[in-house]
Amino acid sequence: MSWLERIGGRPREKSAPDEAEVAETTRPAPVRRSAPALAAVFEGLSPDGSHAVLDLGLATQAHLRLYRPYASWARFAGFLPEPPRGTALRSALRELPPNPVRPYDVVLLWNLLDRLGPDQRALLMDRVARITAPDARLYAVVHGSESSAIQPLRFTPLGPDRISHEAVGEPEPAGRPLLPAEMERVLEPFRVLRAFTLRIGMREYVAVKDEPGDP
Amino acid sequence: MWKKDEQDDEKEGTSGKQKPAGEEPRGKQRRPGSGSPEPATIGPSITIKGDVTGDEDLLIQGKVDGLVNLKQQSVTVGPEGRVKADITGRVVTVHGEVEGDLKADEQVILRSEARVEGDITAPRVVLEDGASFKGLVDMSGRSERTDGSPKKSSPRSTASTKSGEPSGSSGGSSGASGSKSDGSSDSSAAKAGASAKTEKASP
Repeated sequence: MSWLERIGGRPREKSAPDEAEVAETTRPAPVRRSAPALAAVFEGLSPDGSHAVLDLGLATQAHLRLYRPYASWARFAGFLPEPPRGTALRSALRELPPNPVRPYDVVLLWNLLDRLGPDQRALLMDRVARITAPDARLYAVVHGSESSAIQPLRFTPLGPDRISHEAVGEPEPAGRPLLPAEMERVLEPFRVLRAFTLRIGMREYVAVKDEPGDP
Repeated sequence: MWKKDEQDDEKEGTSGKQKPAGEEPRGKQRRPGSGSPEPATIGPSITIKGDVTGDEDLLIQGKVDGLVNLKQQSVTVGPEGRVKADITGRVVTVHGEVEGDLKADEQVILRSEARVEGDITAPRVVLEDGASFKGLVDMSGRSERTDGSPKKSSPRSTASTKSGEPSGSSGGSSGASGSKSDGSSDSSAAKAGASAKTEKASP
């Protein structure tokens, strides 16, 4: 007889965990790691709120916290975690407006390029080039190794040089990985400055725009 | 300043979760005659097409299609609120869905179940985990504070009896103007007050 039973109480019965609890405990925790290319994007940017950020992914408080010292404007396109495809992408890009006050000078693609086909990437980069400043900086991360499937990831900045990532959704069939030489072509008119390989088999790129954008 | 703001964000986002106005926890309920009126409410069955203006806090649990302008007040879109309008207030809090721009003198808060598409202009913006937002965040009007403390909210006007800005049409009282879904006149139209709770909009 347990001490609780001795004093007249009843031991609490453990309830079976429900599915949500099981899913919560079995889902891999977000992985935190350093992000040298992200650090390179923000390096040298004046923390005076004079910049304008174009983030093609998801909006979170963590993103705002990162951008706020540098930028007074941050547009979130919401193309992640599930990018628009086909005609939906065309209209979404058409509706992606330029910044009202000054062109975007920091662009974050996150892992969007991985999720688009070659034609869609070209459309995306064309639109990004049109609405960004002549010296805009760009950050992208792509799968760099051969694999049969890509696990979509959600990236969250933890600071100017750290990110966390976690799996979202189901793995997707992988196309040909975007190798460095191809990335140089894909990112035009942005010129790749540096690239870093992350342990998860992904590569980070930081690029800067060489050509003037539309007024 | 950043760390203080973060702490404030944490408080607002987690332990300091605020329920929609009008659903205060026990001990904090406003009592009649206490001097702090409950917010005006647009109930879940109410649909307003037009402009909503006024001089009191507002909780939207129904549908609004038009414009919501309560510049000095708190505007809350409750979990059942569906708004296709630009919203202007002192503090704007969203639990439901908004398609439109949000402008606030103090802050805009998107709770975890919020779905917002539009631009946000406010010196301070809080996005809870799970909130969905697509659009521009314009923080260019933020004031630089040396102590990092948030602005304190100004005292609310006591009057549900005060009339708001002239609506430009007949009536001029605080409430909805423009076309009404049920065809009723302005004077009996869905005011941002008790009458809005009793009227039911025609589909």
